[in-house]
Amino acid sequence: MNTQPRTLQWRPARAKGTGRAIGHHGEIVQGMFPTRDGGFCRGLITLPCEVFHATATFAPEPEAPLRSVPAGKAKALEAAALTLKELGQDSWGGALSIDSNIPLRWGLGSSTADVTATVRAVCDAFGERLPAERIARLAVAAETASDPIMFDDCAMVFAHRGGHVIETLPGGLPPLTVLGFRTSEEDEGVDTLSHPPASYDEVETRAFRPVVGLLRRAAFTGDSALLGRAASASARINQRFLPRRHLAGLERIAAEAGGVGLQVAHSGIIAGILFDPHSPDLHRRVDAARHGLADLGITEAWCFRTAGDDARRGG
Amino acid sequence: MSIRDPLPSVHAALAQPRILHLHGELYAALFGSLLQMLPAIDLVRAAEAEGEALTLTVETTDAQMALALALACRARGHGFIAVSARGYDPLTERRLAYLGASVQPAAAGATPGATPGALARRLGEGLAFAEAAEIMSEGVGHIDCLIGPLEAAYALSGLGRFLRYVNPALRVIGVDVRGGGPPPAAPEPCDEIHCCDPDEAAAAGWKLLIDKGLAPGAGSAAGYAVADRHARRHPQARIMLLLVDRPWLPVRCPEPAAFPLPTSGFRPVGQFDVPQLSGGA
Repeated sequence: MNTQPRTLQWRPARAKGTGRAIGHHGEIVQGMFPTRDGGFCRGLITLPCEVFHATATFAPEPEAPLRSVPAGKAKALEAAALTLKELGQDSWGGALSIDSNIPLRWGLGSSTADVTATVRAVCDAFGERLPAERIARLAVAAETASDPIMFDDCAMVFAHRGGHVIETLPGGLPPLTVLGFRTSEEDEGVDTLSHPPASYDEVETRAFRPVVGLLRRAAFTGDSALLGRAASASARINQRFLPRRHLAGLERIAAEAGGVGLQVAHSGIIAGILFDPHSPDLHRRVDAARHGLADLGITEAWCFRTAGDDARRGG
Repeated sequence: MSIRDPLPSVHAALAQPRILHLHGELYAALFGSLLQMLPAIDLVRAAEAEGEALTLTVETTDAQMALALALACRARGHGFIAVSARGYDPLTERRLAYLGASVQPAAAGATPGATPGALARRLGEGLAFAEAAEIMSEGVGHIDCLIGPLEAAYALSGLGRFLRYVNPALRVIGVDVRGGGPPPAAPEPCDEIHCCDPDEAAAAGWKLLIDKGLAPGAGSAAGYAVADRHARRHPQARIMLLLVDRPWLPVRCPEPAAFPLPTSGFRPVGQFDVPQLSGGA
C-alpha cells in the first residue's frame, strides 16, 4: 500500500479553456452486438450531425466550487469534476459555461455534446489533450450512456453504457443525406436516463446479427443503401420499446420518395429519412419526402448531409 | 471488424457456412459439416447457460440430429442420452455408442429428465441460424430470395426469420425432389414450393460438379436446379442457395437428353516445362 502523501500537481492553468463537440441525429442502429467471448453487448452506431453542436468554456479557479452557466448542467459539472480528477487537478474548481444549439430531450445528444465539450474545455485549460477513448469513459461515467461523438471517425459499434468500442467498421460509414423531423411535434421528448434500456428477448438479441452483417458490408463497399436498410431494421426491432407514430407510414414515404431507409433516435423523438447523396434527382426525392411527411402532419423538417467517405467514390 | 481468432473445435470451424459466388446474382451458402451441428451446438450452449446437468437428455427421432448432439456434447465434455420412440438404425446406434452417448426408448408420456420441448422450441425459433444470417448479409449484402431443399426446412425457417429482419420482402422458396403430382402445401417458413424432377436434380448436380467442383447431395442439387432457373428468370434478384447436405459424388448420371455431358471438344491449355530442381552445391 502506498503511504506516500499525494503530491498535487499545481500546474498553472490557462485563464480559460474551450472545447467544442458536435451532436448527433439519433442512431443508425442500436441494439445487441456479438462480442469475441461469444456473448452480446449493448451498443450503437451513431449518426453524427454537425448541424448541432455545443461549445464549453472553463475558467479554472483554485480551491473553488464548480458551477455552471446556465445553472443545472449537472452532467456537465460531473464531467468537469471527473476530468479534473483524471488530470490530477481535483483541487481546482471554476466556472463552466455552455453554449449549445441542441434541443433537449429530442435524442440529438445534447447532454453528450455538453459533456464532451466540457471535458475538452477542462483539458484545454490545463494544456492537456485526452484521447477519445478516455473522453468516452469519462462521458459514460458522467451521464451513464453516451454516443461516441468524441471520436473523429464514428464508424464503430460503441458500447454506449460501457464506454468502449465493440467493433470498428473498416472503410467508414458511407455518406447519407438525412431529412430529419420529429415523429410527434406535440411530444415534449424523452429523458434518456428515465427511459429504461430495451429488454430484448433472445430472438430480438440475435436479430441484430444480420443487421451488423449489413453494416460491415455497407462500410466495406461504401453502399449507402445497405446502411439505410440496417437503420430501418433497427427502427423496426426497437419499435416495441419506444413506439414511433406512423412507423410503417414513414417507411412507405421513404421508399416511395426514393430514400434508402429510415433511422430513429432510440431514446428521443426525432427520426430521419435517409438518401444516398449520389442518387440522381436528390432534391426531387427529398421534396417528395417532405410532402409525404406533411400529409402525416409533420411540417417541420431539416436536411443535412453526413461527411461519410466520399474519397473512394471520387465525390 | 474483429480478427479471426482460432476456433475452439472442428465443429465451430465447420458449422457456419462459407459463401460462394455461382453466377450473376446467384450465391450459395456451403455448410461444411452436418447442418444439424448448428442447432445442436446452440442447444448445448443454452443448457450450459442455464446451468443444467452435465448430461444432456434430448428426445429426437432424427438420427443426424442425434449424432450432431452427441458430437456437440462430446466436444463440450458433457454426456448425452438420445431418446427415441423407435430407436435408430444400427449404424447410427453404433456411432452414438462410440461417441459415448446412450440411447433410451421413449416411454409412454413424459420421459424423466428429457427436454423434448427445448430442441423443438429452439429449432422453431431458428436461433441457431442467426449467425449464419449475419455471415450471409456480410458476404453479399441485401438478399431478395432464399432457396433450399425442404429436407432442411428448419434451416430455411431460421435463416428466413432472421434475414427478414433486414428485408421484410424476402422470398423463401423450398424445393421438393419428386416426380410429378401436385406440389405439397408450403410449410410455414416457405412462401412457395418448387418441385424438381429427379432427372433434373441429377443433371443439376453434375453441372455443379463439373462447373464449380461442388458435389452436392440430392436435395441441394435440386435446390441448385431451381435457383439457377430462378436466377435466369429474375437476373436482378439476389439469390442465396443453401447447399446443406454433405458432399458426395453423384452415383446417378442423368440421361443424355436431360444433360448432354461433354464427351469431346476439350482443348489443351498448354504445355508446361517442369524445371529441374538443382541438386544443391
